[in-house]
Amino acid sequence: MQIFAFFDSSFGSDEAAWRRLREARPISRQHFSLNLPSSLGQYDLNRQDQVAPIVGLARKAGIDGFVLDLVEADGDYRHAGALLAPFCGSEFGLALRWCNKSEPLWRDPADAVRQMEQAERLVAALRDFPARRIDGRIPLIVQAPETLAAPAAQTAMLRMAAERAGLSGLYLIASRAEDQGRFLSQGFDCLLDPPPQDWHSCQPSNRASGLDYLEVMAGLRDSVDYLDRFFPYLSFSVSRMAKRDQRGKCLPLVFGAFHDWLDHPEGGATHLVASGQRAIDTQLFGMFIENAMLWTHRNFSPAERVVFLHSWNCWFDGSQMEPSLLDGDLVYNTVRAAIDRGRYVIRTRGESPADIDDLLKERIAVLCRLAGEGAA
Amino acid sequence: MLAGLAISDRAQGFDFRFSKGSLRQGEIFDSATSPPARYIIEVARRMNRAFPEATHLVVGNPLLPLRAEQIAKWLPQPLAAAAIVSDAADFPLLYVLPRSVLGPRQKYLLALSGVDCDLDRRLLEALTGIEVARHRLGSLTIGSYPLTTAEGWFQGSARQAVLKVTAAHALSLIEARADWDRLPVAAFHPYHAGSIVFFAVASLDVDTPLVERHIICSSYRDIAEACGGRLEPIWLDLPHLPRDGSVGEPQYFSRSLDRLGAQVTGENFIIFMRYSRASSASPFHMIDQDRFTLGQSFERVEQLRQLQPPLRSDRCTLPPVPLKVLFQVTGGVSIKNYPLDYCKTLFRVLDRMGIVASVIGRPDLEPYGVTSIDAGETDSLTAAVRQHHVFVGLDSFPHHFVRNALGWPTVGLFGTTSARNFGGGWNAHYRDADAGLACHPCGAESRCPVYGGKECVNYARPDDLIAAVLSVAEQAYGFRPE
Repeated sequence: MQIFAFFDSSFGSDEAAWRRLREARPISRQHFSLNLPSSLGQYDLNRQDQVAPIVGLARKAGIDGFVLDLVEADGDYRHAGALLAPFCGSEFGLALRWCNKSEPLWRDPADAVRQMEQAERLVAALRDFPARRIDGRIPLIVQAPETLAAPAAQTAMLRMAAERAGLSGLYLIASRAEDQGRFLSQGFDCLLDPPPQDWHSCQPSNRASGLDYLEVMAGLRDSVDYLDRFFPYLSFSVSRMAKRDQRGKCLPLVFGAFHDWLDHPEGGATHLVASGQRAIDTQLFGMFIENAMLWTHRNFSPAERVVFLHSWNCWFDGSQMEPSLLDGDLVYNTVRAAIDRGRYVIRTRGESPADIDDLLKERIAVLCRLAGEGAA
Repeated sequence: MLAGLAISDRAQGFDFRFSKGSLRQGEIFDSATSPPARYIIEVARRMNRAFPEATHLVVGNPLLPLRAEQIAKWLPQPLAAAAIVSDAADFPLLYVLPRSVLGPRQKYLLALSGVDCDLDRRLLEALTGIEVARHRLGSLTIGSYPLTTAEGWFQGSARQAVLKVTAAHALSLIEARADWDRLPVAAFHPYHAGSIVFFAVASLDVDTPLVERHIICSSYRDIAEACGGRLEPIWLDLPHLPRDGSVGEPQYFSRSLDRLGAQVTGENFIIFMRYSRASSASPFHMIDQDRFTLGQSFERVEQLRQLQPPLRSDRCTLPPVPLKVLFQVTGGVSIKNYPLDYCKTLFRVLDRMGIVASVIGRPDLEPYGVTSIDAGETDSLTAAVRQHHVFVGLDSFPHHFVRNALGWPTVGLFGTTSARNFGGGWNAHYRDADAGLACHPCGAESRCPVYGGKECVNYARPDDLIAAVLSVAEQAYGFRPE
């Protein structure tokens, strides 16, 4: 069982990211304040002495790797793998999330030649990348697969480019899970739950009506009542796990907290709200992680058992698990304890030596469906 | 946080955390049924093993989140042979123990209250025969101990009274009897049925128990006898504690002492071993939790029964075809029942697959292809189980008994509770089944806290349950449906 956590590598030597975080002010009283780091400080990822404790703390929590963004700039692809590479090895490694949303090239089905060239440039960025492999391959999460004009052809291009580059293969993950596994037949190895703003299974608690709109326009209500979406954390986390085997081969993405008002200056932010209007419910968060691990263990082959956590240090959406000024190490300890518990229970279960084959499972599922319809 | 200092001509500090599953160095096993004093013994044992030249073992009160650094600051100088440091209101902060307490009389340390400095000082003096100094930190007051703590303790004032009573009772025994060190220690853990199974099975799996006897409600005599535990039973002629919360455990304990009478209380040290900590806070199975409570020390997860083959393993001698499966789908309250629609689908499909299904006490389900049988008593349950290849049960007594006392191939159904504490462990001939929802375990007793209904949505769907049954059947009997 591997645990990956998303990692924001924007905290460099120019201090701009930390300054932005420090100066961020909620625009509504319904917005949770952003937090600031405590014991790890406002670090500079260019300094190895400051990166070492970050990786050390993550490993201590049971996290096996970070997921970094892979971004196109001036035709080339960049990531921050080199900053973390000295601390990677057999017990800790990295994965990449390709932020493809901003690349118009991939939206055009007719531009195959240029796309192939671009695919080779993308794969070039994976050379010497200290990847933590999934199923023996380099994991690459495609952030917005729905923007690919021809996913099947374009994933094939990526695989071909990897083969030409002599890489051991790509494990392609589509960050999309609410369309009945459509991308699984388009060359992806598996799916990954999308972030809360793209999650539609759970109704927000403030589903706005026309009257809400009028009241906001008349100045009778806070505009966030109309523009923002507030999801109760309990129903959000339960809806993530409910009937998930019917969504295809989909890896869990676990959130503890999320409120992205800072990056939505025009409104429309998404908020997870714990009971009592708190930003995070650590008990539920821990149960969410543990159940995601157990579910993955039960439903995936050993080489593909991965749970993703959002996030290690995404301070701008409040989802960080690094120790913070407001929460101390409460969130970090929650993650560490939940991973410990999950790994222990998995160990007690072991492998199921005589698990029944897929054909029989399918037969049982069909019989149950028919019997259930009969009952109805 | 648990902490201590081992002292010889130098001092070494020890800080421990309650383990969440790894049992790394510096972690201590988390057991819900262990009273605070069990942790005094455990911390002392750990320090003694790690620092064998120690003459004094200083143990912080397990009820408080202490670190060795803090304990060192409170340590009285010069160091007496034995001492207790308390806050201004006599709440014990730390115990200075001579190393000799870990000798043959170690089990009597279980009677230390952990909440009353004066009682504990007198008890320790009586146990060790040496003067126990007392130091009061006038500048510190713990205040009213909360009903629950972040570390998982629930030791409010009523429960503290129980701990004081057991300490005072131990003191009176020692003062009254010259042969007190020949008297046995009896665990007060009289209910409920599933807990009796866990405790009895755990008692068979402890190298040197700290406890010799087990106080049990006499209505559970058949269960205790069927489990064949190692502890000598003391029958308590009281109905078990009602589950509706109408009687508190301290109140019940008080009535129990009256009912047990002088014959028992004059001949036994009695230790309260019902829950002192939140059981779901621990990742470990109740049998391992009870093993720890009874005296087993764990420093590696490999020592846990949950990771080893069960002590008892048995299976059906009938031919594997037709496969016969016994179900228990009714759990007393509706949220614990396996959902009705799932039951209908489940039994229809099993019938269609040629699998013979029986269900305990549910004639209403017979139209769906299952036979309802009566198996309300331990004997009838055992007889029914022996006529079936696989047992499927909810998180309740039948499941715990069949899996742990009979060692039968079993599938456990978990909805509001967790298999990690109450499941069957070791995967040979066992599967636990649930839907893996993030709300689990919620521990709800009446209504679903998410959807509001009276049925739990975390129960495994019929197809997943049938797959688990067939998986166990294939492993245990080589059975594959045609």
